[in-house]
Amino acid sequence: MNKEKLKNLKLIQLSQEEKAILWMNIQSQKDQVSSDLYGFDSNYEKVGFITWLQRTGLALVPVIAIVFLVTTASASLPGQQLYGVKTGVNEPLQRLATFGSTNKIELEKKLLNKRVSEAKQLREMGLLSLERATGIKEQINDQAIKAANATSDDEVLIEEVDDNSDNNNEADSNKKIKKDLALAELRGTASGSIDAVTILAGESIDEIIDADEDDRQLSEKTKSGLLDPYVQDEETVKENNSKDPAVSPEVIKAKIQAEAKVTTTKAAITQNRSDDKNNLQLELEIAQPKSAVDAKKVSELTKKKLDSATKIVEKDIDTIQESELLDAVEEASAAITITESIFER
Amino acid sequence: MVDLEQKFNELYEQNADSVFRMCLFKTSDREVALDLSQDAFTKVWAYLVAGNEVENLRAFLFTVTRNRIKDYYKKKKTFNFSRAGIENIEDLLPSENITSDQAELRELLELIKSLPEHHAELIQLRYVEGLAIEEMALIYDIRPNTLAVKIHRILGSLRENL
Repeated sequence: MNKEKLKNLKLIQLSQEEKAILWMNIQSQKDQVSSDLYGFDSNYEKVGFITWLQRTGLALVPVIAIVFLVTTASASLPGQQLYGVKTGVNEPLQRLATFGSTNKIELEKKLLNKRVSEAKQLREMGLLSLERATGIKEQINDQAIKAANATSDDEVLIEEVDDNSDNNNEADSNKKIKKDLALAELRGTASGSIDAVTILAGESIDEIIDADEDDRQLSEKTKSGLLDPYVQDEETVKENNSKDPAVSPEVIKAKIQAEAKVTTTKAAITQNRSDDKNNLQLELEIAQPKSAVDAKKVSELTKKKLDSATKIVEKDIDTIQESELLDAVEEASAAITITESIFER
Repeated sequence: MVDLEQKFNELYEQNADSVFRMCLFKTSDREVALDLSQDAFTKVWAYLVAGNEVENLRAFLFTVTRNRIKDYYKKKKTFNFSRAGIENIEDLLPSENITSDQAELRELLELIKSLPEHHAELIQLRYVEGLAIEEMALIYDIRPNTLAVKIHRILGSLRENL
């Protein structure tokens, strides 16, 4: 079969009339900004754009105002009208335009941090009720789960090809290490963000501080929902065991340990910086004494996480498991997230 | 804004048929394919007009198109995206007079239909729509080398099966 013949399939195309109508429809939607930005269904769902505009009362809003609305949605907060545009449209489109697992995970971390800074802004305005805080925490939880699953191998249409090249196996190992570390950081950012919102809402964090070392600070829902990179199905394990590893497990562990030490050091520096700056309690501007943030308790919580991470990374490499090192990265990332969210302006 | 318009117009001119074909091969329904194509271009426009930068516009367009198709199937709830593909070949054949042999087109469509859906998608994007390996690597988020080897193997199996 000549692959050139496949080009003949290009004969299946838009007719002149279809092309003209398609362009006309796109032009009319361009002028009024994509109907999808406002979350309504396109033609095949039988809800017309004009009908939607009339229903929402936006029919008379000038085009330029609509464009303004779209671009200012990024500054909106939970509870505000444009917040749905921000999280339901702007952010998904940002995700689509981001390529590469590690870049996607970095974007998700930024978006999780955004949730915390939104909570902080609401708190400064005196609008962070316990109910709203719970809503934000659930959103963080869902976002993190979706992000971890989106970067999993479930949706990969292409199986990795075993081309027996040492260089490619090493590159694959490095890519896997990078992704595992990024996912551990994502889990840490998610749990740290949830704790930060708990703190900002003035809820007690004694339970979190007193929790056992083995009890990760994630809710049960988050723990079960977030992708566990250590769990592999039988087929994958068999396949991995049958391959001759070009990179030994010891080397992989050493690389992860090195990265874990970097993250833990960063957490320690962040902790020291915040301890120096903040010996006083943060207080709300409005009179809600119960919601005051106890800087000492926050410091105690982050120090606990940091100590847990440090203890792990300093263990002898022969006795430690890869999964423990990734747990250390998670703990250190959570500590960084909490410290930066609460104390840094 | 004028530059953006021009950029978008060029994107449409160069890719309208490709996007339409991708939607058509997945849904076997011209009306639905037209709607999905319209949605995809409009979404890309909305993203650009909000001031966002895109590394590779063509790859972004096809990523948005794939996601629109996935959303369509999620809403249909009949079967999942990975089983979407050509249903009735006759629905895809052009009704306008063409110089090429309809029988040859039918044969090529049978070939595409015989492949697993994700293999068919790769072959279509590479050899029908002419996307570069690097662009496709961005869409599927895998290494270009891996993708190239995979496509080579699919072609090999196509040749064996004929």
